[in-house]
Amino acid sequence: MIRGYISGSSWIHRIPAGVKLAALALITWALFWTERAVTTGPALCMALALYLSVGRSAWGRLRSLAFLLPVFAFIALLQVIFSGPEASFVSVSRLMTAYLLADLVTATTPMMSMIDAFLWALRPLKFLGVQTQSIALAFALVLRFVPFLMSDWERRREAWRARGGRGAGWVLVPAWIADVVRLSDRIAEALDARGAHNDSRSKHAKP
Amino acid sequence: MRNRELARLSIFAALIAVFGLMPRLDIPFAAGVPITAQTLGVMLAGLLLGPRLATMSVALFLLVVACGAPLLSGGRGGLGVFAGPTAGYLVGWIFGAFVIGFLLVRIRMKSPFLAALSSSLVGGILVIHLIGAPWLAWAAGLTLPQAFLASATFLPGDMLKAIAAAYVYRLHHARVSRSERNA
Repeated sequence: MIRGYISGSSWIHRIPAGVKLAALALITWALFWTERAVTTGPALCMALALYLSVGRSAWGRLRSLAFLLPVFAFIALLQVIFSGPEASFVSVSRLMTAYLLADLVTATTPMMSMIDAFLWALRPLKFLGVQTQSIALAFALVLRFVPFLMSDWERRREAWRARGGRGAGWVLVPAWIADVVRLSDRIAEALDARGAHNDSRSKHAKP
Repeated sequence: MRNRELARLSIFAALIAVFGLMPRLDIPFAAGVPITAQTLGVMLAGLLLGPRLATMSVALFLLVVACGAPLLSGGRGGLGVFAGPTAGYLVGWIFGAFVIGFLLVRIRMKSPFLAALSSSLVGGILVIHLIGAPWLAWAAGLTLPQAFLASATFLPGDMLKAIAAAYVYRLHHARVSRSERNA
């Protein structure tokens, strides 16, 4: 499993999340307009140098990206056959650079700074009636639900196996989904009871 | 937005994650091709939430992934997956979930299973591949036929997932209409 954030205090860690995201978007956008190896080759080297500047933990992360190599090898092979070696190098080095830079931002930005930066960028959604504090609440609920649903599913499957069930347990899914929907209604009641108002049209909504 | 809708779309976003992380629900169909149940979660969101909430649910899931949570199948996550050549499929999920929910309430079919199956096939497979494959072609410098060919290796697994999603929907539909009759 790839870890998200690597704690540390390198110079990249200290750049604000929003600046990193904006820089990443700009560089990635520029990268896909280049068609020449003289640009993409050095870009890849610079991305690797950035990893080096973060320190040891970032190098360890590079090794864990080995699972991507088959994909890149497949693309490189197709490109060499159909478009020649230079086009192949450009495509693969460009993809690798984009991936490495994006992953570097993830590695050096705590999840909470990241969501804050995204919520700031999503503020215009207010005109569509979506409040950013609703997104923040939903975000927190997802993070809480994932481990809960995982263990709930495992519990059901074990109970089923203990009664002689075999295989992956597909037959359990429909009843599980029904219970999950029911659970979400209870969560909503709990939110109501605790005074979380997310309805911008409701007269009870916070100003 | 009501808390009820908020809780429901959040729990379906979490379900999409759980379907992707379940190791034992992997379908050992084609060796080497990672077929996971993750898009089954996307299809179910479209079928059970309706177009508006399903779109928000999938978008929320992708936001959590983009922020660094390793919730995509295989434990992938972070911004890297959105810079990769297969990012178009992830974006396709948002539109796919919308189309599934949109079609389901408009298709006039007697059988809820067939209605769910046909909207899953169009929204959950056709729409996702129509966005994912051109993106793959553009990002990886492939031609469109090559990209669609690479895309097609996922079709058998996708078909199975559409059938599974329609099956779950039919049972859910029966359950809901039964409890409505009793109420």
